[in-house]
Amino acid sequence: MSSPTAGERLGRLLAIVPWVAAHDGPSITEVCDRFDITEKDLTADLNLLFLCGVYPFTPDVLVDVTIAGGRVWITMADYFRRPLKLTSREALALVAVGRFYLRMPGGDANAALASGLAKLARALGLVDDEAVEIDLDGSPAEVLGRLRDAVASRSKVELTYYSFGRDATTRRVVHPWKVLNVAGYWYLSAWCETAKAERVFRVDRIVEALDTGDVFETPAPYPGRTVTQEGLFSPAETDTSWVLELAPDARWVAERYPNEEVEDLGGGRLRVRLRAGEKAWMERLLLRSGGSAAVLEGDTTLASKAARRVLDRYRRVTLEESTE
Amino acid sequence: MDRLERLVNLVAALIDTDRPLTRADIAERIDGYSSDPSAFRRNFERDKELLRQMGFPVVTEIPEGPSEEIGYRIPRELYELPDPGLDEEELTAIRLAATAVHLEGDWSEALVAALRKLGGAVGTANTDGDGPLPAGELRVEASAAAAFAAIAERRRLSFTYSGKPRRVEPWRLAYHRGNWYMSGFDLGPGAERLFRLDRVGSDLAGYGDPGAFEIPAAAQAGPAPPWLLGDEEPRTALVLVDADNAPAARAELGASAVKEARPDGSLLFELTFTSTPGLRTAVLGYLDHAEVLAPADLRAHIVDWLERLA
Repeated sequence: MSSPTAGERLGRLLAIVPWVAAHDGPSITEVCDRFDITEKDLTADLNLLFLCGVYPFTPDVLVDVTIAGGRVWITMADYFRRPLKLTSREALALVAVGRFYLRMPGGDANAALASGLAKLARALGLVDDEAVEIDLDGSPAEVLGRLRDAVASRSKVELTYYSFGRDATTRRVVHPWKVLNVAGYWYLSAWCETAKAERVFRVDRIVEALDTGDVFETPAPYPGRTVTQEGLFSPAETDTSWVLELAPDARWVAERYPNEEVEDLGGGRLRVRLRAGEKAWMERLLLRSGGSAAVLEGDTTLASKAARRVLDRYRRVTLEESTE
Repeated sequence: MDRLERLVNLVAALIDTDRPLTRADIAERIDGYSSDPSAFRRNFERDKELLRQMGFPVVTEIPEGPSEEIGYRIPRELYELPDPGLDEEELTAIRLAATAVHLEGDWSEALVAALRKLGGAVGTANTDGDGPLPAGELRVEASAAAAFAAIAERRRLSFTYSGKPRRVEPWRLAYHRGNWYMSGFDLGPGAERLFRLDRVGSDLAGYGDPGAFEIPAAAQAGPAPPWLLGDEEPRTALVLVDADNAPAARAELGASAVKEARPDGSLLFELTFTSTPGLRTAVLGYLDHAEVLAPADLRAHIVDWLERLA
């Protein structure tokens, strides 16, 4: 790690000084722990502070630092009695992680966090503590809670899972490693006994999660932090390559999904090359865009086959139709 | 002399003074600056810039008296963090949240700096985030900080959105499906609007005085679902989703829209909609695992739509 810049040391020091001054000789260990600083760095910064003060540099306006018996005292004139105000980035970072945590499984029960955030909101001048709303998908709390417990107790779980990409429901036994929210969606990272590999599951597509009562061994170091924002959305080299022609009202396809090539055909039309590993993903794209996205390269009959499959369902007679 | 020592003395002097300090005052009172005027000027400018970047409110004023020379000071009321009055338990809870939620990029440094100012930081390593506890990855849009500042100050913002200049009273921020939104009152059309921050085409520039408006209490921050983003007369649709897709549909369409959970595990949703395309897109996402049961014209519309593709 590179040594901190003068600015970083200044920010840290001007946070430490008012806190130490307001407490009667806290232990060096506690200061180091609270402010995430080594004893060596703390001592160096405090020694330097000892020489500081304001004009005319008489003893009453100089900072006095006393270190004795593993404790530290700071006395001074009142220019550093409070820390510097939070910047808007700092304030937002605090509020955002706090609101996020309240939305995590079990987080809503954290009364101290809720009251702390409410106090913080008032100090920051917000009208209420909901000025920043964090929405973490609608996965049922009981499924999230069960998965969290299974991770903690290392219980194998039998998952019934709907694979969105393959449009198929499967059942498998997994070793749940971690429940993680990335880009607003909940995921379970787990070892899959069927695939004999790590798999990542979207929690809102878990149809059923049953605790098997069996315990699994956790590999060390603890795995399960492999879900990253990029990993979720980047298509693989091995995925099928498609070329689509997009009418103006389907241009969003080129903007929303990673693609390999875009060609402007004029008149607002685009030709785009993209990769898609799963057939159902492409079926959805084609059905949703109507005729505005046409397959030039790839399975050119995919849209019509999918449309006919859905139409078959609509042509079955349903009772509700006559009751409404 | 250590630059840190010079900076500490400079900050102390700028806070401690009752009158703005001119460059000459600073050169005389603060150790560590060069006696060479141009070197002093360069170093002082560099220090002042660093302090401003860090959020120190270094203000520029003209001192009273015959001199026209400008001076500098740090007003206490702008410098000092008001004590939010957090008890140890609340501070510990906030530290825990900061450990469980990983902020992307340099936002994690802002978080550590904020916790230090409150009297207790956590390590930047985020070690607990790698353990078995649930964790989150949160990406914060860079412009959210400017929006947040304007909301806290009740100050208007001007920016470009969808190619148009906007003047907006910002109300709330929302993180939804990985995107950041700002809700507010758009002074142009005179109506409430929602802006996706990554689609803002300029800086969010504050203008006018703080305290320029009030934020309505019940304002909704998050985006409405696509089927409510239209101008059609609100109507009710019945949508049936098969068992396998039921959990996903519950998350997407909303648990409160479930009208009936059937014995076979399928769910019947009752949805208010104002956008036929929005509802069609949502329903087609379930391929042949969902169908619109009512109203009849919406069902016919979807059949038409599919027949053109088949």
